[in-house]
Amino acid sequence: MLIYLSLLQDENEKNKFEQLYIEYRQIMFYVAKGILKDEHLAEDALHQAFLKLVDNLDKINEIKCHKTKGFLVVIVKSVSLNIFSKRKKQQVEPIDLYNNQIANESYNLEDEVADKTEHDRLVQNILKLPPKYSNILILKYGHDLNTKEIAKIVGISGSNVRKRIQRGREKVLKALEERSDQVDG
Amino acid sequence: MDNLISEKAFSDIVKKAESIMLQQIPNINEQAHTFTNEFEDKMKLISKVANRKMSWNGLMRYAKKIAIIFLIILVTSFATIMSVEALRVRFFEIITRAFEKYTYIEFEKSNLATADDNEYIFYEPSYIPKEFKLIKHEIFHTTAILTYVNDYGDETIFKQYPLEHTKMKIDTEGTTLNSITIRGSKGHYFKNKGLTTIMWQEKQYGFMLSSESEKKILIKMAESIRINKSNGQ
Repeated sequence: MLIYLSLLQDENEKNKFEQLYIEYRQIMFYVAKGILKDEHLAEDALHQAFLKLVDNLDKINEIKCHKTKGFLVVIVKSVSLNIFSKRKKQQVEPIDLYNNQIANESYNLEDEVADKTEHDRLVQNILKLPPKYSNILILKYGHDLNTKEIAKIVGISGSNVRKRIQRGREKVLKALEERSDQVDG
Repeated sequence: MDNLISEKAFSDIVKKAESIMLQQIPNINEQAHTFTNEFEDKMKLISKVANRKMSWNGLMRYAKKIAIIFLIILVTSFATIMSVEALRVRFFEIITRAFEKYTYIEFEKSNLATADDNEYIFYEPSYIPKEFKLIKHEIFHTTAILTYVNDYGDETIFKQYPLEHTKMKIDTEGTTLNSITIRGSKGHYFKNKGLTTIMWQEKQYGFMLSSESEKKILIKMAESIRINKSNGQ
């Protein structure tokens, strides 16, 4: 009976990859191309991203939902950034970045609008984080992945994942800390 | 710095930021980009791999569930039997009659005092290694299973069950059962396939802790059990 049930479930699961591919390939391509500015490289990024997805299909419950979309986008962003980073080391050519996020590594808090709530400011801090931090924070806090799973997707060691989580949090919470210091002072 | 905000609040902030990031991506037409034939061929290959993997994972998932049910029956009954002298004798008699590596034992209803559901009290370890967090708290009638996980995905499982079962199946291959004393009560521990398991009993309850962690950590957790504040709610 259990084997029969498992086969029934498998039939539903079998199409999951194809459904995800059809639903999200264009969005993922858009994100990859935004980072890499090259259609062939973007297809390479998609290929690698879907390979990583195969190992994480069990984390996806619904095909068409916000969470799944976010998960696929963050995977393809991580892969594209890795490709970008490797090419950058090879000094191929300067490439503009998706949403200019890498360029915003040094974030100036003075740019913030004064009347934003603390919550909004923290959200803005995450949006302005370099993607190498924001991607990992999203995988950890948005998709509940553990260190090992994140390391596999992002292609770095577990200890680096933990360091980036720590640094990412520190960068995001910097505003709160400064405010706290002012109150204490 | 991390004390400035709770994990839950930080998680909400990250989710909000992710939502905004996704909103920044425009709606993309399905025809926006025509993928190359080479790419489509690669994706077909990956799709086949994915299907095979899902089939395998499906079977493994069910196999895992069966194994967990098997382990619960095993440990629950094992603790019961080892705690009663009359049954212990019978237990060893049956082992010699059964198989060398696997043993299936079925008992008549024992005269053990059974747990009264109305007075059933749930317990939990008050000491949890700091890198572990409670991620699941399941109650199945009178059996409680608490699952703790660390950042590496390693699990520690605490189980509480009534000592009233009369059936058991034991995987006795390659294990050495050792005696141990927990909270003044007699218990046992064994290591099998990388997992250390401690079992002991108090009053009408059986307890089990299972983890890849070291034995001394499990003992510390076992010694620290207290009445669960939620008590099954």
